[in-house]
Amino acid sequence: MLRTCLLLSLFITAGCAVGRQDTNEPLDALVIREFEPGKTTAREVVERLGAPTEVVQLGRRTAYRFDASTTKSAGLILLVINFFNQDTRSDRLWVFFNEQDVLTHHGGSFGTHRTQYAMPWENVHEASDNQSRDVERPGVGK
Amino acid sequence: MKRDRRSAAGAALAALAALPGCINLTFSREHIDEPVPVAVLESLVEGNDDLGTCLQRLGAPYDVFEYRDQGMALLWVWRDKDGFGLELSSPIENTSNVSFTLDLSDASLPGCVLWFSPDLQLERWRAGSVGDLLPGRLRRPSVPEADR
Repeated sequence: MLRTCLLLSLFITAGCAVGRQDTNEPLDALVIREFEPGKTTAREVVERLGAPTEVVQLGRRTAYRFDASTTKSAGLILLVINFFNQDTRSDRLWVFFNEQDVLTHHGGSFGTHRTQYAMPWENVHEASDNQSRDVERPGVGK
Repeated sequence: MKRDRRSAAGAALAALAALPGCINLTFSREHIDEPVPVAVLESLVEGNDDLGTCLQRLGAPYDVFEYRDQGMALLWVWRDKDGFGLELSSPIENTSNVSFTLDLSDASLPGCVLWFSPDLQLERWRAGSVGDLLPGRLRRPSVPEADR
């Protein structure tokens, strides 16, 4: 009776949970590759990428930020102890313009496709994992 | 027979108390973005590298600040925290309340800052906690003080 009761409680209490949250559309790396410093204008950047998340005034220069993020959460719910892991990565692009609103520099990072469902003891930043995911994303993998 | 029933009742009660949503011990870990490799930072040469080469090697910063009129400071920040916690509420509720963005008011966040002169040459870089890197400037006001 006691054994059955304990066994039953294990079945009742063990479970798992997963969740995902995306903010904004991932940035298009192929579109960003086409930007040419000294030629592309702020207007052209906005026409291709939409409204920036943030605009920063830097003296006479301006910088626009574009971003998107993906969060993957995973949980293992056991009898007494629970394990949760949450992994958030971002696509982020900063474009810098001179006084004439012409692009001078840009820097991008692409991470939304690297996000993983994992347990807290797992390493989600393994280079081999990142490389295999990069290959599948157009404009990011080499 | 009576003893068996009492044991079963006790076990059931213990199981109920330990059910998710009542009392539980939680080990959780949170990753936000990826750390900048120290080797990449150490390869930067102050006075030689410029904004273009730094962006190429480090990717996009988390935030950009004005620095000395026409210069700029670029901040990279990330989070990788874990720990145990004794929970008295539903774990599902707990996870849904977690923020998915970096809070720059958290001075303990690891990060690095690169400072650029007005001609966009790298002046210096530092790695450490955000509180030490940007003291007094943990959050850029979204609305000018005068407009509040």
